[in-house]
This record gives sequence, C-alpha cells and structure tokens, in this order.
Amino acid sequence: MVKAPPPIRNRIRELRFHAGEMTQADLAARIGMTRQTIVAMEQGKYSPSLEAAFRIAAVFDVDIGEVFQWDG
Amino acid sequence: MSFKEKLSGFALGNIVLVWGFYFTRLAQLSAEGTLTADRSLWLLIGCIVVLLIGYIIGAIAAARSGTQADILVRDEREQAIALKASNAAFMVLGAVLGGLSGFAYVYSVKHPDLLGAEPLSTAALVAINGVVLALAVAEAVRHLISVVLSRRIG
Repeated sequence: MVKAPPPIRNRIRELRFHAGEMTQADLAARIGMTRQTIVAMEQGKYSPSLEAAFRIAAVFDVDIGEVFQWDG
Repeated sequence: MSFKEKLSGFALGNIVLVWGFYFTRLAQLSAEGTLTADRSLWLLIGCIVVLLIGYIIGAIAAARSGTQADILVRDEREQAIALKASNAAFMVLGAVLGGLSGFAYVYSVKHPDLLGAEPLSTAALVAINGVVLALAVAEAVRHLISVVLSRRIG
C-alpha cells in the first residue's frame, strides 16, 4: 500500500527560480538539510517540520504562507 | 544519494555478503559433519573482522564521494527514516529471536537427548548462531528500509 502524499502544496521550486535560480543544494545548505530532502519536498512527497518551513520562508524572505499551502 | 543513504547501501551489501557467506559455510560444515565449536568460533570472528573492515571501507568511500557538509548535516527527514527503520528492525529482531526460541523449545521437547556429551558447547553454538542470525537479519532490514524509504518518501 502506497501512502498518500501529505495535502500540503509548496512553491519552493518557483521561489528558487525567482531567487536567481538558486540550486537545491544551495537551499539545502542554507537550511541545514540534504538536497534529497529538498527534492522530496518539491515533489510533494515530504512535508517539513514547522521549524524547517520557517527556515525555508526566511531564506526567500517571504511569509510561510507564501511557501506552503494547505490543500486538504 | 545522501551520505547516510550511501552508508546504508554499503552496510546492506556488506551484511548480505558477509553473513550470507557465514551461514552458507556453517551449513556446509554441518552437512559435512565437520562443524566444531572451534571452527564455528573462528569463522564467526573472521566474519566480524571482515564486516568491520567492510564498514570502514564503505564509510570512507561514502565520505569521499561527498562534501564535509553532506556528512555533518542533521536532516530531519533522514532522522525520521532512521527511526522508522530502527522500529522495523527491532520488530524483526524480536520476531526472529521469538521464532528461534519457539523452535528450540519444540525441538528440545522432541529430542530430549539433545544435550549429549558436550551439552554446553552444543547449546552455546546453537544459541550464539541464533543470536547472530537474528542480529544480521534485523540489521539488514534496518538498512534495507533506510535505502528504500530514502529513495521513495520522507
């Protein structure tokens, strides 16, 4: 049985593009995670903790709601 | 692949090869009727040494293929995967040990003469290899789940 993906959308890919095509590795290094976790988040397969979500929002200097949206 | 994923991949291969060889050799010696406590012990020690060397080589290879930041990072998703894998491995460990205990009990009831001339050596040999088997299976499951979950989800 395959677990359903969490009902949370994110705009990380888009925000990276607007941040001068920031690489997944750069973002990962800035928030203290692995590139594989960024890939999993962008594919909607992993929802980060609240702390990590705030860190990601801080990197792009936006509100957390502009990065993650509840889709349930 | 992250550092921990590579490490788990190396460890899984190492465990399957070393313990696969160990139990195959043990079965061969037993079938030939040449299995003694000494031979089993030296085979076990040799396999543990090879396993440790394999772990060290795997860790060095995984470390050299990435940056220092990859090694030091404490990723929450990887920690969650490690926790899931450890939980599964613990269940497997309990199931294998429980299964072996049950088997040993039934076997000893059916074969009351099991404890023969050298009761302690025979019983210890069986018990040690049962524990080694349980640990090897549990560790293999832990690393397998780590690799599979790292590839699939968070």
